Amino acid sequence: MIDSLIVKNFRCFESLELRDFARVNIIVGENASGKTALLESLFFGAGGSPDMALRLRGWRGVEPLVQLARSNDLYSTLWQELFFNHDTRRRISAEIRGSAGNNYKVEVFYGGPESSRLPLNGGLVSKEPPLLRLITFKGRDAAGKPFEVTPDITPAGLGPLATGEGAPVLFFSSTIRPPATETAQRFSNLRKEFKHQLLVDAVVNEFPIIKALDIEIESGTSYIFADIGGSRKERLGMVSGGLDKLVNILIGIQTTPQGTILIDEIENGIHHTKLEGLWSLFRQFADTNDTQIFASTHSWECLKAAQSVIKQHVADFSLIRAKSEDKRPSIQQFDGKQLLGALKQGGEIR
Amino acid sequence: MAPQYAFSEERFILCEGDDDKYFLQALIKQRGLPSFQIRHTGECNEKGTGGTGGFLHALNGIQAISGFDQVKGILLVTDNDRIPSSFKSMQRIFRRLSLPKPNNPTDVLTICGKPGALLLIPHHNTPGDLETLCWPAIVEKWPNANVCVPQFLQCTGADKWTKPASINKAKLRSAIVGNHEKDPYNTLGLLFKKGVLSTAHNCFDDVAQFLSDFDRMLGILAFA
Repeated sequence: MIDSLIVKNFRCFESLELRDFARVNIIVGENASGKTALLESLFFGAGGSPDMALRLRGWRGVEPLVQLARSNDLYSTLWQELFFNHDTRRRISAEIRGSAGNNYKVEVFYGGPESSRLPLNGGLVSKEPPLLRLITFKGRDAAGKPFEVTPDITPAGLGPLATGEGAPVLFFSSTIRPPATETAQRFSNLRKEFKHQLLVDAVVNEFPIIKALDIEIESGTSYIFADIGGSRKERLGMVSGGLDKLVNILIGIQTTPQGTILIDEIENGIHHTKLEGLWSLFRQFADTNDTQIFASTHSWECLKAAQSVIKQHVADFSLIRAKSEDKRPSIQQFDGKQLLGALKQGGEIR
Repeated sequence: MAPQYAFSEERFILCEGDDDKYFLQALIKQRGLPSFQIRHTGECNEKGTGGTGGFLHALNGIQAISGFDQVKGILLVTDNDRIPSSFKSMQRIFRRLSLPKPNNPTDVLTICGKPGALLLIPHHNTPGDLETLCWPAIVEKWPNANVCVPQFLQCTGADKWTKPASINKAKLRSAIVGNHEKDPYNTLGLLFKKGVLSTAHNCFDDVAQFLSDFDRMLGILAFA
């Protein structure tokens, strides 16, 4: 479990320090208030690395394939959105503290070593390539080992991108589904340890249309297939996008024990009649696997659907509200009791 | 399913029921008093539990409702049915909410982290309720109420009821029923809301003064 998050100069947060998280933390707030940035802060704080920075760009809608050239402009474009106000003179710091395996700290800054003059394309370049102003990721990984990496553009590409061992965190973006093969692999891992039945039973119970879940290969790729009682199994994503998302997250929770699951816009693709069951399953799975959840939502229906689950497990929940006043983001935190009280009286809490 | 409530004003009144709410809204409007957002306890839970007990539901979790951080002062308005038991029941609510308990009805309070106050109606030294407070205005509006209503209550035996609050309510309802042909079912609060009853009577002066002094009393003069 993550107990605290300390962030400086990352995304829209100049300085942010949060603590007292619960098992299930619901994040609300208007558009552009910093909800997703908060999830990204947790993600980055749990394993900030050049690779992770590039993945965050992808989740924010930037094309993943970057045409690399040895130019300071292109190089700095890769990282500048990480910095508060895009001010790359600042030093980013992101840190999580928590139970064993959930401690990580990274600082990101310019001002480390300059790159060497490596010729690109075997000397096809007529003039010498410029010196790059390089960024450095320095910190202490989840195993307590110090790391320092300075990605450079070399003939082999951009690297190094990895730091040390990150805390166990999965991020479910609102727009991008995890690769089907990755989910199938995780499901397969559960099957190998005979841990999949809990998931299958939960899904079958909540969605009676599903009779069973299995892994099948299609065009050489592994997918989760569902038996829906017809003459052939269907790829889960073909049965229902919402159901596919739900299964993805449940598998994520089960395969990330003592870790953290970050979910952006949890309600997307889920019918309102299923939302209460979703909260119940997520809390139950998180509790069973000692996993922590941070989930953002815009939906009042989704929050209201959580009420009965919160009532039964009030200590397991908290509310985090992102606000933006005069373009300055701020975060408010409320415990499960306050969240429940506000929900019970029909209060607007988003 | 739409959310029902968010805070939009800097001053907030939490009262016991519709009648209090409509009366206070009319008083504030007609006398040009500082604006308050007003909600009654029955609106603060799905079961519609109003009255004093409803304060518990209404204050529990209030901090998490949007806009609460902009609230600068909270006023709790309740009937002073019996002295001192009405005040003591409010003390119990504070204790159950783990809030600093008021020692006197006139104390400046801290309610969910905000400065606050208690307004006992008709007055912290006078037992009664909104009906008690309004009776002089009712008599001014319908002078026959002073004669006919006591006779009616005597005839039915209601004047011997053990609960003073019930006698007060019976008295006031009888006056409305017998004098408001247009809709005898109208409640006290609705008559204020519709302007049938005015808040100009001097029986309301103390309450108006209290609301007028609210900022100064709580030391929150520096409203933006």
